[in-house]
Amino acid sequence: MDSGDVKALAALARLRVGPDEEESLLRDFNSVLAFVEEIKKVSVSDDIPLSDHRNVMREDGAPHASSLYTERLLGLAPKSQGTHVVVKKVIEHGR
Amino acid sequence: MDVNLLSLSVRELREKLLSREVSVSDLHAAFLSRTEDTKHLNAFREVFDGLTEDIAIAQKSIDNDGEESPVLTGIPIAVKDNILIEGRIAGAASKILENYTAPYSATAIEKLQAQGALLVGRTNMDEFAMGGSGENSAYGVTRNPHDTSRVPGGSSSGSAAAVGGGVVPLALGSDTGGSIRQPAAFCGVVGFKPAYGSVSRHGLIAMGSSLDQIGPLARRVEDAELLFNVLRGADSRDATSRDVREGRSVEKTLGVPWHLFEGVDEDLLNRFKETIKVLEGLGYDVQEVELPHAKYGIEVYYIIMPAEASTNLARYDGIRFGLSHHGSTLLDGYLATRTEGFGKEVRRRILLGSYVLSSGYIDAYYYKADRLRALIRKEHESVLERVNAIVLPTTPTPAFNIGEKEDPVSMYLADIFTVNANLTGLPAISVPMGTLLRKDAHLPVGFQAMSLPGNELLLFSLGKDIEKNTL
Repeated sequence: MDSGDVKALAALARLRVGPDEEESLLRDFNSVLAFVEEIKKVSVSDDIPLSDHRNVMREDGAPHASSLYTERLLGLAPKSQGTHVVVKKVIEHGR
Repeated sequence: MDVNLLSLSVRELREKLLSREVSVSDLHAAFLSRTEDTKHLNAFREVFDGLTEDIAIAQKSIDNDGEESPVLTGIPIAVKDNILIEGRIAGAASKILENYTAPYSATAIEKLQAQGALLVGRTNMDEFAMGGSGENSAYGVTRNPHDTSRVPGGSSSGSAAAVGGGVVPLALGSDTGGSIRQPAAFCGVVGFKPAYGSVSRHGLIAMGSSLDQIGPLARRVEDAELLFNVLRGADSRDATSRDVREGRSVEKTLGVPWHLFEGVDEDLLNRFKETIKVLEGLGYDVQEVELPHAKYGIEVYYIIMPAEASTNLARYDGIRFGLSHHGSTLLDGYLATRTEGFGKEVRRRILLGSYVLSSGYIDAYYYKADRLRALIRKEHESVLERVNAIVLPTTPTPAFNIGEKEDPVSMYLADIFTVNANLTGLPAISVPMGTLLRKDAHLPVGFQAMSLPGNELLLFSLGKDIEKNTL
């Protein structure tokens, strides 16, 4: 891995990595990767499939009385207005 | 007041409560006194205030119902900081959740409360359960009660230190790669990781969703068993949960994968061998077994767990809850919140997880690890058709010094004997097997047993046999 990779991953993970941290991270990373890469050498026979997952869904419809948790959840939001959670503008017009 | 009350078993405490020798209030006062005496351990994130009403309710239950009162009435229990208690802060020892007040209780908490438990505080841990030492909390290092220059283990560091230090008889922890069992071993207590799915994860702050389980830490095997029986059961709010099938077999056959023990501390390995001899003397049939791919468990774990954790930690964005730094743009807000809020090890694992899942690498790392995991599981299950439990040391060494393991890989290698129980979903227990003398300190070490789900009774009875027959 190189510093370009670290920057790209940091962007994906929504993390900022400063230049000094980048160096120590790169070092740790390459050490961890060298370690986990061992599995590349291990052969796993074709009859072992990838994990099979299935979704377990509840019945469609209202799970509980309306507004049961609204106040509690809004109370947790860093910024709220009425019954809305306030966020930064996502869509800009005219661009 | 006898401050050794908190070192008694739940059964002994209940006897004292029922006979009125001790009141719930006395017990709570003794607990508070112990927390003062052990402040230097930094085991607690918060010792709960405002328990007067809970104490009164518990006392009333004892007074009115006596033996009919629920089994945990008035018993002080500590809860790991990643398990939600409605109305209390759940922080996962992270700045990003520093003031997060849980809007609901975990199913495990509801069950404890239904049995009358007195929840007395939340314990320190490695941040977001990422760590095996207790050094990764955003709120300082937790210390081992047997030698305060050493780690208690992690990530359930505070829970293990609190039980091992005689502050509470019982604590809840969580285990994703060994986070109940390893600190239990280091702190000289019993730690049990239930079979995947046997305890609901609803209300446990998720780290690795295919690996996580809530479980008990206790001073006695019978107390760990009691707590497990309170916690277990299918829960509609956790789709991965299911009822434990009972009664496979309690035949006393054990398998030891000796080929995996290269590099284990010599004294620790000798203690393990002595314990095996004791078990043979008690009528256990001990055989050598082979688990050819078990040695890859660590690599597999450190691919799958960061991948799952990076996904689970994507929700911490400062929008709906938690720490929030508003930047000039939405993206700036995310970057500032997450970079400020997450500690170094958390950021490292998120990045590693993003890497192994990224296109171009997902085949070589994540999918490969997934299939190797299935192979490891197959091998364990096949061995467990011939023997009823696989036994091995819980850790390769006793507790190491605080600050000793700076290199991440050397820290990860300490999990070598615990990760496979999470990868395979098997129930696993760690029971103290005495102590080793290192530089004037008596350091506990743990004996571990894993079985098929449904064989939990064997694990508990094996644990009790070891408990009765070791120093």
